[in-house]
Amino acid sequence: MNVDPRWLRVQELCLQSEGLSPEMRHQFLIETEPDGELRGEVEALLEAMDDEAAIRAQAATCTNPVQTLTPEFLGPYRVLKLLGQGGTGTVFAAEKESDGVRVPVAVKLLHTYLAEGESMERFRREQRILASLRHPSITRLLDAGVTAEQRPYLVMEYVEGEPIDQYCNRLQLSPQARIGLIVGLCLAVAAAHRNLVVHLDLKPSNLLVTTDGEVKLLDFGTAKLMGDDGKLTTTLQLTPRYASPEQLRGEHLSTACDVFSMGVVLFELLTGSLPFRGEGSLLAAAERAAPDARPRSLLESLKEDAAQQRNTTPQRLRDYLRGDLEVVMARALASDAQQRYPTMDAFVDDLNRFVEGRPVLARPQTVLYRARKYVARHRGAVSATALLLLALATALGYGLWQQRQAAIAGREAQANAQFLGWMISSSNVMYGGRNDMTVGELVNRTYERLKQPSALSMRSILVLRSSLGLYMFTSGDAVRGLQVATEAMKDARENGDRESQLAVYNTVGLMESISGNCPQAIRVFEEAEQVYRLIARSIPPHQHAAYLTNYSQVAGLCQGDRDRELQLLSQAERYVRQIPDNSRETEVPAPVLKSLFYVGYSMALSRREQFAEARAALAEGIRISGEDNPDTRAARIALLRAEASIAYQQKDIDGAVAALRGASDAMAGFVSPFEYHRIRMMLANRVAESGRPAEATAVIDESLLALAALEDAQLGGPRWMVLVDAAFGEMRVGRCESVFRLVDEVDRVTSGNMPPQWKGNRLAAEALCRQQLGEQSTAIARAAESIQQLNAAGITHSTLISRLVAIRDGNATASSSGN
Amino acid sequence: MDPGITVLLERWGRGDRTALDQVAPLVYPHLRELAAAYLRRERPGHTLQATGLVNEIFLKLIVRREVNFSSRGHFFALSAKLMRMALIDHARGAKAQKRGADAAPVPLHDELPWVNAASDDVLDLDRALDELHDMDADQARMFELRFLMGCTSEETAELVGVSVSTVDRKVRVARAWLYQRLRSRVQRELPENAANAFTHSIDGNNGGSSPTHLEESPTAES
Repeated sequence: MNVDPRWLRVQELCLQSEGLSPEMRHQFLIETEPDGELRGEVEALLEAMDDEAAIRAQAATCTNPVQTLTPEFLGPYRVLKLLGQGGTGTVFAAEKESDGVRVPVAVKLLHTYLAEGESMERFRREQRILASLRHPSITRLLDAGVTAEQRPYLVMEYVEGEPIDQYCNRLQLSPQARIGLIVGLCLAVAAAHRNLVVHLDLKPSNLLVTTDGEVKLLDFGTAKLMGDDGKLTTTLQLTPRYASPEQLRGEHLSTACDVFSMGVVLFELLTGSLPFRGEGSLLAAAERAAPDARPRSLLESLKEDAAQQRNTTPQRLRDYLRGDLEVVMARALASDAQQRYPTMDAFVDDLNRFVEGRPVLARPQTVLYRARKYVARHRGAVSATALLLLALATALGYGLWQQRQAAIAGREAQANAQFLGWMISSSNVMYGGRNDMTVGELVNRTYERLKQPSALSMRSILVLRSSLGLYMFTSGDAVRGLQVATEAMKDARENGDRESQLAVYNTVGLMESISGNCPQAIRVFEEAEQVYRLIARSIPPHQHAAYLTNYSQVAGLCQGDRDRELQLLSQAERYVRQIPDNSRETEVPAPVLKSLFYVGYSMALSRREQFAEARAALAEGIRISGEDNPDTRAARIALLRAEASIAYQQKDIDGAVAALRGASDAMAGFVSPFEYHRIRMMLANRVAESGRPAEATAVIDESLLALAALEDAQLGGPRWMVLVDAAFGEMRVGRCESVFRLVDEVDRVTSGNMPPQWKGNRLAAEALCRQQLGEQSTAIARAAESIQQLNAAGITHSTLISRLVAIRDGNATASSSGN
Repeated sequence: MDPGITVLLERWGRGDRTALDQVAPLVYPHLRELAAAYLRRERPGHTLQATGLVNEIFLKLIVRREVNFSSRGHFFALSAKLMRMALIDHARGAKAQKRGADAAPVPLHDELPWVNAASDDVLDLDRALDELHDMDADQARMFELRFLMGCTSEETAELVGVSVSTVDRKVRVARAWLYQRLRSRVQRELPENAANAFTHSIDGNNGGSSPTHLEESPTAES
């Protein structure tokens, strides 16, 4: 904007000469400014400045009608001295003589005039109600009146005390003692609430501690009564530090406002700073007024000298604040009044629970409770391969472990629990197929939601992202799933702490190995191992077990190091034994988790032809899983599969068929289509081997027909796995056209990316068929490739390998391949 | 709000007077109520204290994502403008009802005791502020924020984007200059209808947003 240059010059000269005497001014101006007219303007302005200042000075002492002078009397109360001035009034110390006794009181003269008629009546009515508030911690309203100028005043019990924040710091009170004082004050506010009075201006200067250590709540005189219509609005205080968001927004006010303000005071007493950044500015107020505003965590708000002022060490203070107290604060300071403690009593209850070491109710129990119930109802979810399941449990258990450790802020715990809930419901779709929303939709929605700002900590976000990647991976979109998890891994490398790194590496490594990206899988687990070594001492047994089990799969599948696989599994077993059966750290119940581990363990043992050990592990699994009920059904199924596997390894085909029949009967309608059809294909293979091709064909056809009707997202696992199983079955019943179609499809959907064992199986199916059809050169090539892959997977001698070797070396005959 | 309040505020800030019509109904009724309550002496006495009210309205708009935080300066400037209109409205209303003449003076601000907010003084002040605006627009804004909106020097400095000392200096000179203008008017003892002529010119400046139009807002008191 342009400024008039002449005016600028006038101002400049005026300011330069205003401090001078009139003679000096004149002299100065003549010397400085040649323009006589302009000099005249400056002199006139200077004169006006002096006159105006004089009028102002005069007005300030006598004519300002709202100026608060210390009056001699207010009603019958003799004013002794000014105590203080606030936004709503001026407080005086006063006394009243009654029967020769001088009663000290505090009188607050309000900065307002009463309007005529109704307002006066309302004022009186309000004061009567306020006067009826009787609580030892509430400063009593003794009387109220109106001055001759119609200015109302309130007469209150005189309290000699110190604002709570100063008191606490002067005495270096412990956090617990501070909570104790706040609880006392909360009870007083709760008593007021029961009389339908809200305070609306709770702040340290209104919360006193007397010399006797008693708490006193001041200033209910400006409190609001909750009207019949419940409508209460207020204008902004100039320092809205303690005001609730709804007060800032000028919305409906309720007792929840007081909960919030008391929460802010407690937060300040605990940490030394306020729960919201930039306390003073309008911008900060706007941020706080926003519906999605969230307070800082106690830990990140700790002032440097906080521990010293609380007569403790920084470590002890942090230990005290983290966990439940964070949850309680987050609840008290929720931006949405609906999310806050509904009453002061509820707030007090949780504070007491915390102090007494009982579980606080602010913990998002309902979500977790529902999630647990959900798992209990859908145990089928856990009949995924032990491999997938353990990875899943790692992610789920991770969140819970964090909660149990209480190492994260309450709101994060809550957010975690919600996400866990979602993930569990998504497993519903995965294994039950009864939900309207597909896994893909749900996972995508969750993933998008994760990108938005949320209460989740970096570690939670990382773990959840990798878990979502796993869901995408298992529900059909392997490429995107791996991509999502890999991105999470990159972020974890840069920003994650070690626990989240381990969890994310675990998931990504698992996915890479299943995808057949063995070099990557091995690299990831090498990285994971470094992290694991660093934190192995501080993680719970189920995390050890998850890491070691997953690593064993990579060692076996990718590195073909079956000895290492077993070594890792036996290491894992030590930790599995340490997981208490009633552990609440794993989302999947510990017995199920443990018996599933034994499934994988026994299968690995049987692959090494350690049949006695395998049977023992199986027996242990059966023992842990307990009786057959919906909760243990999944473990039962897996155990039957393991039994089938061991029987097969021991060339007991009938035993294997019997076990698989049992498993597949138990599975029907209980597990995901993926799990069910894999078992059916396994059964078909064994039935074919036992010399009943027609029966095997029927099973395969039924499954392939069902598969064709299912979208990837509905399947609940990688389609190619079932297809490879089917190709093997078709090969065994001699339907080679179908085998070629199936392996083509497998190649198409995987782009050749499969773990060596699977690639070996896929190639073996083709090689055996080519051999059958007399396509020697192709058969030999496929057989050689297959052997290579199987060897890479650590499978060096088996019935299948012998047959492949025979083909490769030209010793096989077409007739020998069909059995 | 089709163009969005932020856009309107920016247009208004660039001198587009028609934008005022669309934003004013959000603020004006509240300011008018505040001014009226103050002039009836129902409100705390030190100042009009419009800051809190305007902050509150602004926060509501921010929370509803209807306005950007960056348009806060424009919003306050606009509100100050509206406060001038509200005071004039009240002064004219009081005059029409022939009350207020014998009422005790109500200082516009405790640092402005010579402006009786319940009298024609506000009409003169309005006219003088327009003159000041022509000479130094920022200076006029600072004065408005300090004494009509009740902002502190610090808040004013933040809103205008200058230092606190600049605000204090500029406001001090502006106050003296306005005192000079108002005093000379009193000394010249203009006939009463001259004041009305000034208000008409104010209406003209506002390009179509006459106080009459604003009074039609449903929340404005009659």
